[in-house]
Amino acid sequence: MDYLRMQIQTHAPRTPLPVDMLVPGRGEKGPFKLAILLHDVAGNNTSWMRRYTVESVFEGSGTVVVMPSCLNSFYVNMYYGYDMLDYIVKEIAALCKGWFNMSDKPEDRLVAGYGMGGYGAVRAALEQPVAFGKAISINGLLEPDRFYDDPIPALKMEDVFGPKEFMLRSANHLPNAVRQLTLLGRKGLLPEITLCGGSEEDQRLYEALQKAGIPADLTTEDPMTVLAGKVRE
Amino acid sequence: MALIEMNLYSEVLNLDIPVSIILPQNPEKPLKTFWLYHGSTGDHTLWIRYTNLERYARERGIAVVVVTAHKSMFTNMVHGQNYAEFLGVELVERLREVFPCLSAKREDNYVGGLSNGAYGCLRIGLGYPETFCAIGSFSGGDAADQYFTDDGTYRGRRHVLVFGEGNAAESEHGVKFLARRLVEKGGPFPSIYHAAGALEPSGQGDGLTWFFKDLPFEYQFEIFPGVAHEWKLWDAALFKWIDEILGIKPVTPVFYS
Repeated sequence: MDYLRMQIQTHAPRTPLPVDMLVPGRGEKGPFKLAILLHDVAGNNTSWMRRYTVESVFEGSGTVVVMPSCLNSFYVNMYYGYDMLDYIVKEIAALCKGWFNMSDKPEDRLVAGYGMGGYGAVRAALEQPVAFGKAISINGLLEPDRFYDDPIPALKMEDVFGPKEFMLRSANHLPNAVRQLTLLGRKGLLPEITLCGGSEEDQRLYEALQKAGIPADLTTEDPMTVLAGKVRE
Repeated sequence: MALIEMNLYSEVLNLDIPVSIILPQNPEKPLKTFWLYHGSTGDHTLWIRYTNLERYARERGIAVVVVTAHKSMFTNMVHGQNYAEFLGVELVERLREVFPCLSAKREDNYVGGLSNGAYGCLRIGLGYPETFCAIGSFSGGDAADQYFTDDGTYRGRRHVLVFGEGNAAESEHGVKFLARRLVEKGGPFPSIYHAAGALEPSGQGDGLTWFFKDLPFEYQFEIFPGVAHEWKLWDAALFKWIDEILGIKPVTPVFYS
């Protein structure tokens, strides 16, 4: 694969942001799949490559891998700040489509993340099921409302999500996003969500997803094995 | 606009090569592409660091590719790798494979360079005339048309690595050789915009002005007053060349003086 690092002018967050990408190597013919990999709190576009052996996971799978930098935004349209959810859900796929030979099928688009990125991946997939056919959360911070009482350094929850009562009524509270998607009732366009990890948060979201009829999987398998498998399905 | 730093694996060189690409986001039609070469001490970052290149690219809606060719002088080295084959064939093919938004038409592809790269773009443009329709050569000429020997100096040794011992003018390294070969083949002939500063040694066109005079190339030589072998010249010449190719007439014709 070839490794690209870039600075792009984003439209939704309206600020230049760095993005790292891996594109399929020579001989791999499109249309290519898309995988967006989301970093944790305090991470950036370089985090996935430093933490995991990303290239070996995606080698030969015909995938354009996009690793954006979204600051400590929790990948939502921030109450005070950047519209990162729109950036992830709408903008990145459009950018890739403009440049590369990309597949149009939702099942060929995957979003994955660890920690805060795990929350972001699930949030993005629930927001717009045609945007991503698959989402993978690795040890996701799936109930960020707990950080109102147990703050993350230099991260103001009120700035990201608004007041706690507001957040708990919004789709940024994942059970609400699950309900919202079920109410839309778009059968056949539901994303497939995989939760890697075994925390109580994972368990609770897994049950909510199952109850809502959204295809979900809870696993303690090695996340990179899961990712490598999902991208080759 | 996106500024992309790409690590591109080259089979020809068996090496990962850094390439900078300035690319419009969400292009609506195949992009006209400028391929730019650096000077002898340079790399792929200098055009972007020392000129207004990205602003020009944004204003004109073009793609720009700037590549590192190390000390190869952009040719197939006698003692080294085949950089000309990499630059003229592999790089172009691979980038078009990755980015189908880059136009593959000859009339949309232009090769330019400064100093050492001024020779390089003539070498590549005349060596691969089916790929490039225009050459923008700033402050350089036929670098192969000298007698090279390993005289113990750094310069002598470096040139011998690239061209071998002796004079390489009558080989595929020679600009005049490549141009004559093209005339014998009957084209296609890239247009050549040749610029130099009035205060630099190549201010007389390095002997190419008289050479191209009688050949069927669209050749233009321009001396920029008051500048030497420097970025001020290359920035101005690049902007002028881009606009000439795109057929854009500047509001003030002497904007660069």
